[in-house]
Amino acid sequence: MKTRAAVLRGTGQDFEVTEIDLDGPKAGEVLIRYVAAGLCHSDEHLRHGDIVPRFPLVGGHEGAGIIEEVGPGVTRLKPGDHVICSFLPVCGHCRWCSTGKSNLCDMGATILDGVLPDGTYRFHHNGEDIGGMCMLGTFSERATISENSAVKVDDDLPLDKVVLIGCGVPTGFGSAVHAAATEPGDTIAIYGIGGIGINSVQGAALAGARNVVAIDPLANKREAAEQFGATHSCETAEQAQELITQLTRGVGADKAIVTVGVVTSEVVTSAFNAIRKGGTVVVTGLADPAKNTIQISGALLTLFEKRIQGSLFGSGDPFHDIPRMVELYQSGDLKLDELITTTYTLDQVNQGYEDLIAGKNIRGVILYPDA
Amino acid sequence: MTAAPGGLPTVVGLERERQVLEVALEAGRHVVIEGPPGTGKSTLLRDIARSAGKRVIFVEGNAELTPARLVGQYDPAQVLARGYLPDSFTDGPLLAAMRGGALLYLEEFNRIPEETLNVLITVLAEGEIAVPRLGMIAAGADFRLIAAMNPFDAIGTARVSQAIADRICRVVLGYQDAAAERRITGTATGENGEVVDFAVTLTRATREHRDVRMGASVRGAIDLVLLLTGLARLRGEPALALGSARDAAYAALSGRIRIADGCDRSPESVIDELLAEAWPAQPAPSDPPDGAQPVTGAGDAGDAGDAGDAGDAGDAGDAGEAGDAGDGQGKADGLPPGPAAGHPIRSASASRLRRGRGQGGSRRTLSRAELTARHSSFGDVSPGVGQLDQDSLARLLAAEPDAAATLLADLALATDRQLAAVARRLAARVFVQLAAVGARPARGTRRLGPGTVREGDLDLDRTLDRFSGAWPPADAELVTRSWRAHRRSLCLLIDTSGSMSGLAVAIAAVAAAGVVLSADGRLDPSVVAFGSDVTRLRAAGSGRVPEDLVGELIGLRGHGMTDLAGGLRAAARELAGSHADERVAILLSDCVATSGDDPASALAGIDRLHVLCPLPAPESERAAAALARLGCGVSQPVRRLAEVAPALTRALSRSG
Ligand SMILES: NC(=O)c1ccc[n+]([C@@H]2O[C@H](COP(=O)([O-])OP(=O)(O)OC[C@H]3O[C@@H](n4cnc5c(N)ncnc54)[C@H](O)[C@@H]3O)[C@@H](O)[C@H]2O)c1
Ligand SMILES: Nc1ncnc2c1ncn2[C@@H]1O[C@H](COP(=O)(O)OP(=O)(O)O)[C@@H](O)[C@H]1O
Ligand SMILES: [Mg+2]
Ligand SMILES: [Zn+2]
Ligand SMILES: [Zn+2]
Repeated sequence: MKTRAAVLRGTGQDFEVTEIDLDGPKAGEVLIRYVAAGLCHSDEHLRHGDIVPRFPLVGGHEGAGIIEEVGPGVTRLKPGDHVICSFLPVCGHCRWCSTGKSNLCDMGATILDGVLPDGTYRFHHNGEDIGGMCMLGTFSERATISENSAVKVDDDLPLDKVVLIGCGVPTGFGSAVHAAATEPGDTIAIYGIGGIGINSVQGAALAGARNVVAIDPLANKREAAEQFGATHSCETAEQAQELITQLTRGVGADKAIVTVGVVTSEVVTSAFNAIRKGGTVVVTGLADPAKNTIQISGALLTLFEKRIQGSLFGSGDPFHDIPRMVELYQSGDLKLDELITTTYTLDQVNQGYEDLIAGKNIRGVILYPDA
Repeated sequence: MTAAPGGLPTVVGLERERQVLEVALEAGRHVVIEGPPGTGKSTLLRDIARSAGKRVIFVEGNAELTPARLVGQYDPAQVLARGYLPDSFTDGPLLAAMRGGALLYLEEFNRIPEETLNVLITVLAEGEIAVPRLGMIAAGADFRLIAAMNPFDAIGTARVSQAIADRICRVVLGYQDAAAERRITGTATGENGEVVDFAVTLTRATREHRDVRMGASVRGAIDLVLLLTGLARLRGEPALALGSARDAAYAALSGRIRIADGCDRSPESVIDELLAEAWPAQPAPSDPPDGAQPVTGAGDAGDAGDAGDAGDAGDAGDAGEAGDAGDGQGKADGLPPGPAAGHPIRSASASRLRRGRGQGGSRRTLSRAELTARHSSFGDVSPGVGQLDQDSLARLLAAEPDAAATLLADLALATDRQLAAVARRLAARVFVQLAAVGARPARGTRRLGPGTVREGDLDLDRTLDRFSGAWPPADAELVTRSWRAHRRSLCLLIDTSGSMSGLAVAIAAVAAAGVVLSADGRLDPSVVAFGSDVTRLRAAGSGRVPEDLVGELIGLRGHGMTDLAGGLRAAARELAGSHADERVAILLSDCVATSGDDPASALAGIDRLHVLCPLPAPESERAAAALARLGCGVSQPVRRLAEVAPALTRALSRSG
């Protein structure tokens, strides 16, 4: 079958929206019609060249849609099911899955190739195999994905909103709740208020942080942060340092979370200096894997017993966390609607990323027309 | 005011009512006849008077009927020239009937201002009246008062005061049955057969239609027959033709039916719909081609065009309209078909986004699973995602209004957005309709007062005080008495804290709509919701329509704590803006304050505080009573939707 998709052919290029071929589902796979796809900075890394995937690649790893067809042996899903995609597949059997760290599932090894677990591709064009970002490729009307990448949800949920639970919400929320283990009374510093950081703000506030300090150079982001639960916002790391010193009588923030678009050693150092003894810096934002973006004094790490903690997909279990965040949305505790600043059509995907770079959006979302 | 005419139609039916009336009058009792317009009140009374050989003096009751106009008054020119001489007094209908031993027939009794009705108390009790500067006038032995009025079970309608009701018997007339109505129509028009059957069927159908608050009376059927036969004659149509039927029905019925409040349709579209059903199935050939087209129903183009101006919420409170008293019977149970096009429901406003766990509840949505668990009828009303079966909901509303309203309030918060959107639109209309069952403006807010404006009755005493003796008197020397408003400002204060849910929300919505509907322009209420903080839903004078208000209100839910004192202070702020003689607040709450100051400390700026306590537990009933006592008001429990209107009526008539 055919599908229209936004294909990335190389570093520094725009997405090319074009019609490509799509194979139907094989064993353990499902055909999904996407309803919505979120514009996360991670795809921008691939376009910009911070991170280099296998090209060509259909972009998009935040998605929600409706299952149209299932391949042999699929037991979790049936046609008509509404699903939120998990940008990391969960096999359920590997060491990580079986020990409650399914965000680290071994199946995630090939997410930047975008190849399915059996080692073959479902997107093709002129005989060439095309991958799907995170094995999803949500910047496509339809895709064939592993059943391990989709979490079934209730039919009455607005997929155009809960799509954000495919990456941005669990990543940001989990960075604060799981990775930083925010406790009631904590002071939490969050660097970078985009689609990820804003959800760290929500997570920290919900977990009971006494102070949630949001740091972002852009005024619109700081304003949003305060609407989503930040108690303070600062334009620069220096201001934040001063504020945190005051708020904590010189002790320092309990935890700091780095969710800037491109992680630099400066921002990690700022975060490291802002935390107290025994505190944690969570690094969620990404950068060029070849670069050393953490350069700190090992002695201070030792003497102050500080920790630096990486966090992937919020350090939770997607098949547990995604439904739980849906429930938090329904209970009114987690805001999603207000996170979506702008919606786009598939053809406007490049515009969407320009807006992301320009800092216009908390989150942009691509909406597909009803089938 | 007219004297009784001669040739009258013979009364059809009403035998038992006639006997009761005759015996009551014979026994020297005064009587009120209560029934919707066109149910034969005047006809019956005239007939009784004629057969008893009595004179009847008719008085049309309305808001402008001053005591002087009812009792009589001195002729100003003669008084100024010669002083107060009995000769200069012109009897009004009351004195004329009393002296002449006649029947005084007061129509639209409950539209007459209280001050005017009060002059009747001694007449009814003692058979005499003291008229200033004229003396005591005694009623002749045959004097009787017969009042006629529409049913008044409506919000804001002051019932006839106990002092009067206690001295008067009451006879109730309902609509005639179909056979009687055909006979009446036949006799009045001299027609019979199909045309009468058709006219009566169509007219009666207007009383049953779910979008109609008040249908047409037999007067509509009579006019319809006359117009229809006349048109057929003029157009040379041998048999009933649909085109003429429609023309005649529009003319005879459209002005007589009142569309339910909050319903966006024109009377014509209702008539079209009913016409399609009532039209006798007959061979088409006799019709002209265009007339043969089946008339379309609700979805007519004219309908859509009217949607914008049909927001006649203000209409409901229009005191000028005679005979539109809601009959309160079964009209509010129905649902209008199709989702409303006209009223954009504002979403739950710029719901302030603030941090804190307490905020969660106010944004909570309900999954289908949760709705299924809460409401046994959910599956019928919403068979699938995005679906709302309006017929099923209408049936539920008719059978179990409280359960239906609770469901509707919950549906408005469904996670299923399509369902929630339809439910909100419907809820806004249904709650307004429930509130509007006969909603009538509050009465008794005006007093006669002297002034020098050139209108009203001459205040002779005051004019004489100023009179220089030079004839004619100068403008500045004339003092008149006209109605002056006793100004009252009203704020409805609604608790939307976490403890208010389900039926309580529906009760709040109906109360909010009811207060606005009964406001009648003179009493332009503000509406404020409060939980842990305060949301102003309607500012006094904003003109915000009830649909809009209710739409926002039902989206507000479970705002955490209950800061009663904060709410009361907000109400006082709303009331402070007006120049009123009395500032009244009606509080709808379980009165259990869970945060903020002691509510007793927050009553400043509220002259009177009434409390409606929804679904009260003993604890909250006590708290409500205590608070109302402090606020010089009354506290009333509200356990069912049907209790909202009477409770509001009682509260509104308590003050002022
Ligand atoms: N670890 C994971 O599992 C995971 C998942 C998704 C995304 N990410 C990464 O998270 C990062 C954020 O993604 P996003 O979609 O929120 O991006 P975004 O572009 O929407 O937001 C980034 C924000 O950081 C701000 N910012 C940039 N430099 C800053 C600085 N020095 N100090 C403070 N603020 C600064 C920007 O103004 C912007 O508001 C990206 O690197 C993305 O690849 C990681
Ligand atoms: N029971 C009845 N018998 C004969 N005519 C009736 C009867 N009821 C109503 N009508 C006719 O209907 C019209 C309205 O009746 P009316 O007595 O004026 O009603 P009401 O005073 O209740 O508004 C009159 O034309 C009258 O002839
Ligand atoms: Mg009459
Ligand atoms: Zn992402
Ligand atoms: Zn695994």
